[in-house]
Amino acid sequence: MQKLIKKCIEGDRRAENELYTLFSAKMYAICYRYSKNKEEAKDILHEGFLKVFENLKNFKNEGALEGWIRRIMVNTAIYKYRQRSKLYPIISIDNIRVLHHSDEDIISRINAKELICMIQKLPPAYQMVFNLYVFEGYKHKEIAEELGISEGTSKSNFFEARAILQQAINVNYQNIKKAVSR
Amino acid sequence: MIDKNDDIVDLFKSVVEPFELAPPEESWPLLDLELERRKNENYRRILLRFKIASLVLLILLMSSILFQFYHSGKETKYGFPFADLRNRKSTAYLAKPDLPLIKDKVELGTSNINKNIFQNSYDSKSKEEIIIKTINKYHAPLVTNQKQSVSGLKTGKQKYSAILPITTVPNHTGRATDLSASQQENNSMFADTNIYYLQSSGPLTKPLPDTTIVTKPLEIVDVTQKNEPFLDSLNTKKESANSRLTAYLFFSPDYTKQSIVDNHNVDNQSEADYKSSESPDFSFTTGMKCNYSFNRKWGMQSGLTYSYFSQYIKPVLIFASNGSDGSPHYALPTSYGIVELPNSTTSPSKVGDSLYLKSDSRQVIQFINLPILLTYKLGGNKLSYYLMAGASLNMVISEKAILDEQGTQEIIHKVTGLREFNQSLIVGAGIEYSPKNRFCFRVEPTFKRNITPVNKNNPVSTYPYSFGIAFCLGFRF
Repeated sequence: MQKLIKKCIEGDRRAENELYTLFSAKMYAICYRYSKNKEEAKDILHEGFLKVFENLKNFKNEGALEGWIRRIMVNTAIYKYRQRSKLYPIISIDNIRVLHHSDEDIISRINAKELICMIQKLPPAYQMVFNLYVFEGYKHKEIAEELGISEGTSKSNFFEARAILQQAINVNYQNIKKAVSR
Repeated sequence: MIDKNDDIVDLFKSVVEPFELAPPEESWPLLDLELERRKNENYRRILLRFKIASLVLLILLMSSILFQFYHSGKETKYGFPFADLRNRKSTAYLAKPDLPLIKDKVELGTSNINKNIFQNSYDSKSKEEIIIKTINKYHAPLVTNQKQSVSGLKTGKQKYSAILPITTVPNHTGRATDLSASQQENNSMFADTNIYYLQSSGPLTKPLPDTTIVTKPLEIVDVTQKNEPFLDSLNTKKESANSRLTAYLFFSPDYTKQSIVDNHNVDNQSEADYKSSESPDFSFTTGMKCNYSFNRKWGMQSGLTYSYFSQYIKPVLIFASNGSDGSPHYALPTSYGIVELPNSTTSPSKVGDSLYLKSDSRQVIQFINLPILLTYKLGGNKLSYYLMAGASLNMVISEKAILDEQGTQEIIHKVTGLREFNQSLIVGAGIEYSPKNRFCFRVEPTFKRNITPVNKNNPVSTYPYSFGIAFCLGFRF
């Protein structure tokens, strides 16, 4: 891997392609989670990889390269979000009923792409907070700093995102649930 | 079980986390293309820096050659024999018995500053006063004497690039010649940039103190005849020395970039993004400025200048936000401010809609500047060097962006978030060539950097900096 990094730093296009092939699928899934559609995900991936190749010389080999690239992708997504944050309307979620389901089979029938689609349908602020909290392991305080919001807002966004997702799972898999219970 | 909040989180973690998704096929070719473009841009940037550095070196080299040529030409022309005696002990030639010096009337003393600095003192009651006054007539600002009682002479220390003792000149009409010891029978008057000195035959009373004398004569003047052209040139020199105010017209091509500070202070994403998307276009500064000299060294420069700044913005995806009229507009964020597209050509249906600007956009901002600089002059009369530093108040007079919106070129004259006024610091150096007439020419490399941002209410603060070479034509009043 170090050889590959070295070649990428030297500007070897083949090595850059190899690095891209190695991580693009994983990173595209992450970008997809942070975006509203494939176009936006592609845009984040594009900018993210440009930054990766531009800053690879600064990679200290102290941690995994995948983690470092992931961090760049997430930062790019956060930046994109911040750029557009004022464009997104704040959606108030009223009368959300938190539904409790108790069917383990539902889980087995849910596929990742559908779950990501649910995340994508969240209001942007909720989507961002949910992603950062669940997948990146950020604390609410850190999320607040990154997104320029208060810690309380981060928490409430997360709770509401979770409630929406619960509702979405319930609605989308009602049929599955019925089938399983039969 | 997903009846608890944690279950939802676990569900997403377990299912989504390991998920991988192949990116679109066109992703790598696009990335490859962009990497190639950036690589070429880096080469171009390096090449541009190299060109600028070469140009500066060339200018310095040429000015040095000109300077050397100017001086050496004079020496060769008149065959000045002491050209090689610079930094030699004066007694090496002054103590020759046939060199006429009157030590008790005119003295040379060494300064404690450095070897090449002297102070001249003499007895004003002596006959030599007349000579000194004669000299002073032409070079009063350049001759210094300790004694204030001598009219027309300045007091205090004076740096001399050359000085020889004032000698008795019983009759300084005679044929001009050089300072060769073998030609002492002839009276001569020598002029250099700083002082005139006379020499005539006569007995040497005392040797001079053992001190270093640097001789840099520029002209040897025949005072045996009425040398009108020379006297005229002296008068011109005197005039030009007295003219304190010079006005310049100038033009300076500029290379302008910007330093961007991310106001969120979390990461440097904004900075990196703007840096990668914006590249400099041809910019320039022109206008008029005046230089007022307080004395031979110090001066002040001010004027009114016009700056034209232009930059390219690479193809980018832009989004719609609520515009100044409350309805959704596409907005192009730049490091100088946000360019709001009118809805005449393409209007977004809602906030958050996106639009891809397929080709390079261009942003043009025009300023009127009021610079105030302090200047410090080095060197001689004809060819001089100077340093300068100061500040400038800049006012935006016009801003526009030229966007290619789905094949249609749109010119937008509104950039929101741009400050009307900003300030910058200027440092520079220059070379001035002053022929004997009232005109002079300057080549002036300058570096300018903003100390206040050009934008406000923005995620980033932008501080432009520019490097320019001004070509100036001046006129002395």
